[in-house]
Amino acid sequence: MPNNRFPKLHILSSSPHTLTFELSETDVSVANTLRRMLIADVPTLAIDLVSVHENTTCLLDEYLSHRLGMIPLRYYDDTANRYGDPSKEFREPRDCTCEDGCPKCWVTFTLGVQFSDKTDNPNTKTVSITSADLKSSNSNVSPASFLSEEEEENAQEEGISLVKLARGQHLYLEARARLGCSKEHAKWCPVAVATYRFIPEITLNTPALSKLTLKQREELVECCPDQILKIDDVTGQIILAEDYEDKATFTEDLHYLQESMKGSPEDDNFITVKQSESRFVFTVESTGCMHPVEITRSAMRRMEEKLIMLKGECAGINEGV
Amino acid sequence: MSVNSAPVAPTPLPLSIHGTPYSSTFLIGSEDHTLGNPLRHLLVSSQTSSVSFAGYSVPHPSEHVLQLRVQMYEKGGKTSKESVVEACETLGRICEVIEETVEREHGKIVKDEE
Repeated sequence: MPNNRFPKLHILSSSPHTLTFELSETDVSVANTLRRMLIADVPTLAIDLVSVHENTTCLLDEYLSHRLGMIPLRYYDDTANRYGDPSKEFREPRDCTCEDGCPKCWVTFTLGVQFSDKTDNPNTKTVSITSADLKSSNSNVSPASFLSEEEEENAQEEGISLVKLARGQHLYLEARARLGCSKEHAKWCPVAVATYRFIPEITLNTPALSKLTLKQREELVECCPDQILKIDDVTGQIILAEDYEDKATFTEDLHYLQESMKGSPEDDNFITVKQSESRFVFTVESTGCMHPVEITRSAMRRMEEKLIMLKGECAGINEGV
Repeated sequence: MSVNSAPVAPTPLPLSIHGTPYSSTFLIGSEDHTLGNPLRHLLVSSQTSSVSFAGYSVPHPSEHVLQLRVQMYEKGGKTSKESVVEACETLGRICEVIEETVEREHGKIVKDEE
């Protein structure tokens, strides 16, 4: 079977909120599909219905509800021992067998805070209600919070700030969260950033380059804003900079300068910088709702489900076309 | 039900196939470039001996439909439907490999840190 290579993946850096990895031996269409799945199709939990019982704050009910919806909610996966895929425990309400909502399709939160709850100090003018004040009905589901002690120490609040209360103000509401994906509303997006860049493939035409003067070579090196080339101290020839793979930005300056240096337009280029067709560096930054490795796995699982559905549909349609 | 339920356009059919068995157009509902581009690429690059033409389009971004056109060289050999199923299987394996590798590589890093 020709061309049946399977992708290789090598993790470059990993932290609780960001993952960078190199995906290779696969086509750009697969890389783009991974990116699109990470952004649009990973199911997560977010608040979708809010019942406001009392709101004497300075923000309107709808404004507060919108802010509540945007809070990333994380689900602790006991088997994987990290924040993972909520679709393992929850179902979307329209797929659920219950009539009117049950703990399998909705997670309930309550928020009840008044000014006097937060401070005894008579001089305090305002207090903040944050996502830390939301009380969940499911112990595995909670609003996303700090990922390291350093973050916690540097933070101004205990959680994501929702609204500030003045003396005598009170907020009491119930919120229900459900599973959804980013195609429906951006609040369900699990990533802040999901992007990939190409690794450069640079070819140096050494015979042609050695015919240039040192000054011309220095010009070629300096015209690159991403500084992917440099002059070797000993030989005076052009060589690649150490971290050229990370720095390349594929600008056209080098190309235009070479056009002007060439003897005739048909001559070969001195240096060609091309985007690799099979090596991509991904950066996946989570919003805090799931570990980035879990987000990637969930994206690939959802893609496999789509393919199974398509195969099933194909099999169901007979050849009487 | 959500109080925000708004009337939505009817969902397109999951799949309808037009043309002949060796020269088919697949109209796949609720799908877009995410599915179309890699399928098209796999049809062209890994089934070069049987698929003579493969292309996809999203006719209009407001209509959530994917058009995939697959034409075969020989009548009597693999049908267009079979080649699409084969491409789905290959893509499914590619996704599995990515999923397993990312977990395995991450496991190694976690172990090294301990």
